[in-house]
Amino acid sequence: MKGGLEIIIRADGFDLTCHRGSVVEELRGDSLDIGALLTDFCERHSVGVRMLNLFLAEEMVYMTSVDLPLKTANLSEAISFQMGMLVPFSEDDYLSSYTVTRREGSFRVVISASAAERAVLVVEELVEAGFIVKGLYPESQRYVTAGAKKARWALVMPGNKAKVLVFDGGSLVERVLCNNEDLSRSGVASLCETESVFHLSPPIGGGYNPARQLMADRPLLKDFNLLPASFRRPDYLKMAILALLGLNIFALLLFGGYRYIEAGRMIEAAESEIAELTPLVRKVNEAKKQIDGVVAFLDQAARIGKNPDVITFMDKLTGALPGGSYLDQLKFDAKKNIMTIYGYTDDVSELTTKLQEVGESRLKSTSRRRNMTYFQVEMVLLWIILFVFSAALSGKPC
Amino acid sequence: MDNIVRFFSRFERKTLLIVGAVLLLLLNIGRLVDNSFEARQVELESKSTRLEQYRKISARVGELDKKLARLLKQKKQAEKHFFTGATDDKITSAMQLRIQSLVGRAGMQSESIRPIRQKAKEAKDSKDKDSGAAVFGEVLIKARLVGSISSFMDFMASLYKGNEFFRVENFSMKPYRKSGLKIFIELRGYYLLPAENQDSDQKVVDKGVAT
Repeated sequence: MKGGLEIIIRADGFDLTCHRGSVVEELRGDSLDIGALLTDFCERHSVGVRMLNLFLAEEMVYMTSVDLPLKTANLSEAISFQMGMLVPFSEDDYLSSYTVTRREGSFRVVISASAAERAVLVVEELVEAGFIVKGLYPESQRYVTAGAKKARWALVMPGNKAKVLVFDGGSLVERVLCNNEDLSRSGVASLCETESVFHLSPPIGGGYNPARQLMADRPLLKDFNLLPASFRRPDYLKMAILALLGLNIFALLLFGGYRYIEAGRMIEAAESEIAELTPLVRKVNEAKKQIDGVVAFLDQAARIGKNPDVITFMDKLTGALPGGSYLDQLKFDAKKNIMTIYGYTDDVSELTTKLQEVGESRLKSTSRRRNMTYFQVEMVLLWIILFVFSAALSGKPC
Repeated sequence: MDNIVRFFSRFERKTLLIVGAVLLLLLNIGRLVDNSFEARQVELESKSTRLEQYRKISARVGELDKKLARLLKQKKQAEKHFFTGATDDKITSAMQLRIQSLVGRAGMQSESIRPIRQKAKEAKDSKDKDSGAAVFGEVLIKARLVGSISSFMDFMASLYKGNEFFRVENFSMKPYRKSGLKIFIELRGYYLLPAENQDSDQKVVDKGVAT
């Protein structure tokens, strides 16, 4: 069951209800101690909650509506001025509330007011008894729920003069006083321009929808709170949510801002250090380029220099030539690294054996003339690497 | 689903539209902020990487300076073994004079010394070209000499010991007159091209020196 504790203040007493009218007690009398009575009611019906909503019987509430132009400079001041003229209570002795709805060409202001004395007294007594009064509303607001959606509907509240309230969804559009005799469903439907007409005590066969149907949902209670500001309880939940929201946004901005600024600071520091290191990096690059150049030069120089070891070869050759052997011609070809020896000998086999001691040799041809053997021998020379370059490349002084 | 529809039906269309618009605005602002953060983060990472590289590179300054100094010293020593001169003609002339001097000192006689200046030795690969490696000039010197075997050996020894480098390409010896030898020898001398002369020194020049 939705809804909590509710009290309807009537001219001659109170109606105590809980659980959206499932339990109702009518208390009538002049000097009722509402605090004690409500405590007793709660005990009897095992109601643990201490918070409640107060409703003023529709007879005790004065309602009127006024249209103000859209160009009204100060709307609240204009409404206050209108209330001073329209509300039938002496100044500072009434409770009031209003709603403003924008229409085509004007603001529709619906004003609700009630004498303050009785309501304030009841609120004080309840507060003294330890109850918390959440709000004070006209009784009709008890039937305005989320179930109404956006449809236009009407509520008939019987009394000395029947009151017909026209709602558009959850907003009160108009309140009309009618004679009980003239009240028929079709008349009300025609007057209110809706087929959805509810009645608090629907006459049998009257065709009204029972207002009881509207009690299935929790009341919206968004309009016409007449509770004086001094009794209004701060909405701690709302405050806490707002505080948490603010705190979260602040933390988010703080954290995000810190990260953003920190990243910027790190970028600046990196840029500064990069600027400092740039000359060194340029120097390194220049040095690398120079090193590459020098290495390439030395590499090329090393590829140049090889000469045949002619002197050693000649020394060995002359020492190794057997007696009776003579050289006629020498030819050296650096590309093939071959020394070709031409000459003649009386013992070619001894010659070739001796030449093998000098180095790798191949007998290319022989011919016999004038009692001598003419020969042609190819020999491979050993290379000597150019001393000066090898010394330079090894880093030793020449 | 019905509950959701019922929940939203409590609100006016205008309110829902405003809430939707505000949510979209917040999402857009969030997206912009997120993009901005991401861009800054990327920039930071890029700078950090670059800085790290710069630190590593700059830490090698001392090591590279030492290496460069050592290599330059080696280069300077190696350069001593190349002929140098203001122009190619002067270098070629210097080479001839040098050989002539060695021949004379070895007790030989030169019948002719003929230089053939050859195309400059280009850097072998693109790496060498890019590095600005020096380009060598080559001069092939063909000489016809007369002398004994011992004087030729002296000539070869002094050629090898000499400060300037000549490479022996080929040679031939054959008897000449009574106890002499006629020697044909081809030597290749190298010289360093001054940078401004490298381009103009691509042609082959054939020159002879009468002796």
